[in-house]
Amino acid sequence: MVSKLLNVCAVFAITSLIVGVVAPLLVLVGRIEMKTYLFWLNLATLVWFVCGTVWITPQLFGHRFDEMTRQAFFRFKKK
Amino acid sequence: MGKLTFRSITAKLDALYEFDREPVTEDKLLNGAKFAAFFAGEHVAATEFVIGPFFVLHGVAAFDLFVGLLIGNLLAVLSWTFICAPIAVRTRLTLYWYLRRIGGPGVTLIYNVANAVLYCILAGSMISVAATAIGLGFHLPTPALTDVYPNSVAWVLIVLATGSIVVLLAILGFEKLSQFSSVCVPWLFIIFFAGAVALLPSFGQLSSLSDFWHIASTRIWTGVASPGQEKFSIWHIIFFAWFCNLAMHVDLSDMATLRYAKKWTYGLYSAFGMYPGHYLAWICSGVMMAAVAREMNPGLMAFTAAGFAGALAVVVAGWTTANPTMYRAGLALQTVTPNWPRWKITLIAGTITTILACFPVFFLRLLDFVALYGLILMPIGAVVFAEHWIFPRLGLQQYWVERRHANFNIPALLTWIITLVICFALPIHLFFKWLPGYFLALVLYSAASYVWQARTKTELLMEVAADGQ
Repeated sequence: MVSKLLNVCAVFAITSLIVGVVAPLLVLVGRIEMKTYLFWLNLATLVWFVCGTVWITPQLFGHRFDEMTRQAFFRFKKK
Repeated sequence: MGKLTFRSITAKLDALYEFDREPVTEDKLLNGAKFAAFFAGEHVAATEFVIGPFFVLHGVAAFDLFVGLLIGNLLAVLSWTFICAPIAVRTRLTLYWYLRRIGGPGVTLIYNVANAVLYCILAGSMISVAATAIGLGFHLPTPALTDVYPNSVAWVLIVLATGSIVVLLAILGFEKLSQFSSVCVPWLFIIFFAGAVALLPSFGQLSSLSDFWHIASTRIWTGVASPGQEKFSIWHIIFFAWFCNLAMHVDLSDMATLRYAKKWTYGLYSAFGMYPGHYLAWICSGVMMAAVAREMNPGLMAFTAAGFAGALAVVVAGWTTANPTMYRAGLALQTVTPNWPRWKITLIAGTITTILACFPVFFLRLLDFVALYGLILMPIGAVVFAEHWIFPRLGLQQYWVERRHANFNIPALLTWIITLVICFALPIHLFFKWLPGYFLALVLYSAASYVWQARTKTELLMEVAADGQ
């Protein structure tokens, strides 16, 4: 269950980075307004800090949580 | 409370670095990907929000910037590869322990304290940068480019508040913060990229690469310096990009990391830090600054380019980079205290850092400070280089101080002082002083060591002869 949570967080975190790259490119080519870009970038930031923190530093949430995510597919350092 | 003596201070200094006293063993060596990640994470910081904009203010031309950064960063990568990495891989020691063998405990102690003071100033400038973003919420006017002292009570209060939070968090959990900073790095790259790309259309029609180049050279890096700012040429850019991490490559601080490398060629992995951090990020922050009325206000610049995410980026970048810098300063200061606990040291280092941060001169003259930082420590890098590579070729004894159980390597100390005096007297721009200074230090140290070793040997022979009679 906890491993699944880490995998979901990883997918969301990666997606938020992609949004952070794509949104300004859409402004550049005139497909979206600056206001829309700022909304998506702020949302992506929020998602990154919530999900990215769980994904990259599970040890911040305690030793038990860290141990339970050892076998997750997207885990950075597996045992 | 124990009495502070030179011996007790150096013993504490040794104990502090005890964990990395032994050379790294074969089984502990790391692969190249680890180094790529390390360098990429290390070289995107709050200072990137200031350096790129300063190039715009200093009237750098677009060609000079793009080509200058390309060459300067290449020279930095080559310095890691040909100067730092080979010594690190051959000795497998940190600079601390290698300098201990070469300079003796006395020189190492002075080096550590000098480093601590410079670290505090660097961390202070990062707190100032973070304060510009927090100040946005309070409509705080940022200091003018010529300001040395704080320009308002509000600025002091915001900096003190920001610094206090940074120090408090560092005391409560330095390790957890360090782990958290690894989460921030990829996101910071995104903010730099997104901010610059989204603001490009504000300069005009952009539908091809030639449009971009036209905008870059006529609207961003125009080649005209702002009033009161010195004009920078391509040489300034090349040298700045090269020496901006002088403390790490030529001054050999990164021996601590590169001693884990399998081969000296792993120094090339520093390109993963240089080109995204000191090329892309500097260019992006320059674009953002030019779009925001050419005003040196990192907080406002990032807020305009990336909204709350941008302002948060400035705060987080300042905070996460000030944190390890304060930790390193604390480590160095720990040696000269009577067994104070970790929290007390961090509090002292943090308080000094926060007070320094109130003076805008440190972040508004960041380019000069970075140059001074590398310059002040540079002679020690030359001393270690000479001892490692030149001494065996000249037939001089290596680690003379260690063999003699001396506290101070007098030639090293003299080289340090004389080189700096000559460097400061040289009638050339601050950015260029370190290079002739480095060669001067190599020659001075080799010559002084030759004389010192010959004199010591003569004295020993005379003592033996006197004992024999």
